[in-house]
Amino acid sequence: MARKIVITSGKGGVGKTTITARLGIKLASLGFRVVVLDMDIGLNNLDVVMGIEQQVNFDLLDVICGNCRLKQALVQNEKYPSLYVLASTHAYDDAYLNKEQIKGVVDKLAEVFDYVLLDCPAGVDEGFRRAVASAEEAIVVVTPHISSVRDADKVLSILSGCELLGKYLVINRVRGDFEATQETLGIEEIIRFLKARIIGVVPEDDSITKGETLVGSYQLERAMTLLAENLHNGTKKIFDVAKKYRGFWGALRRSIKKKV
Amino acid sequence: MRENQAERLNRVLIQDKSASPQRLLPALKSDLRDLIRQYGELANDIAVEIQECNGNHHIILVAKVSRFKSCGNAV
Repeated sequence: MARKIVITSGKGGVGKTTITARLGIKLASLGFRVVVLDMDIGLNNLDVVMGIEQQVNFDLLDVICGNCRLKQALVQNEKYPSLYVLASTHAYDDAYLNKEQIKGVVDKLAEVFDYVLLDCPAGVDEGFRRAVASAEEAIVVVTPHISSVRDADKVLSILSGCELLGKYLVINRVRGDFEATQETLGIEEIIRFLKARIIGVVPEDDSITKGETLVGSYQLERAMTLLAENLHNGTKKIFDVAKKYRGFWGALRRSIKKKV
Repeated sequence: MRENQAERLNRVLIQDKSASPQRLLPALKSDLRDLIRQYGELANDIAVEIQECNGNHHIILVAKVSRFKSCGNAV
């Protein structure tokens, strides 16, 4: 039976979809059978982030309405054959979707996969509740900004009322130079405020800004590898985003980065 | 600068929690549990939830009672 994990945040734009996509790829590269589901009905983007928008013939809504079999809606990743995507729809029709219907789809997928990753919509309304109801574990994605931590705190508070096997924290889009000079909220402070088990710190990366969401720098790939390993093995190896910005050479890098 | 941000975050989180009805839950649950026990024997712990709906708050209570006591008896 698969691990069913919802990736949520509360606040939009913190990188849930990108983290979901990249985590799916990392787990697949480690040899697991992974399916990533877009649980955002209406403002979905997982298909675009994964680069498969032209290959989607059927989506989650089609599966629930009986327009296709579940297998027909799964898009296989070309580079990682054990990774599949179930896209969502831009057409919004709440009448067709309730928690039980979506949970039914997720539970069917859990019978054949090792990991079912649910990309949760932003907010804490019905879409969020549908996604959480289908999951057994949750990853809360946060960035080192007060607004993001505030929303993550609210989400964790809501999740504490759900029967989840585990709740984990990923701090995303961390600027290593700012972390080194303590110009933003620190990683340790975020962990202290949110009191959740940290499984990953992911650096800000230009490849994502440029829209290259499936390739990244060595630092980003290393951070995601550690995240996937921590999730699977229960280890606590956290990527040191500030390492290359400490010391003499670090000061030089920071100085160049400021001027560029 | 980091200390200022941390202090500001602390203030924001405290304000959020003090404005939330959820902070009442433990006290409400404790009072309701004692009240129901006066009327019957609880089969297991009660479940209390506060839900927000269109500006109102709904208090949802689920209590399983294995038997009722004679009316008026206190614990």
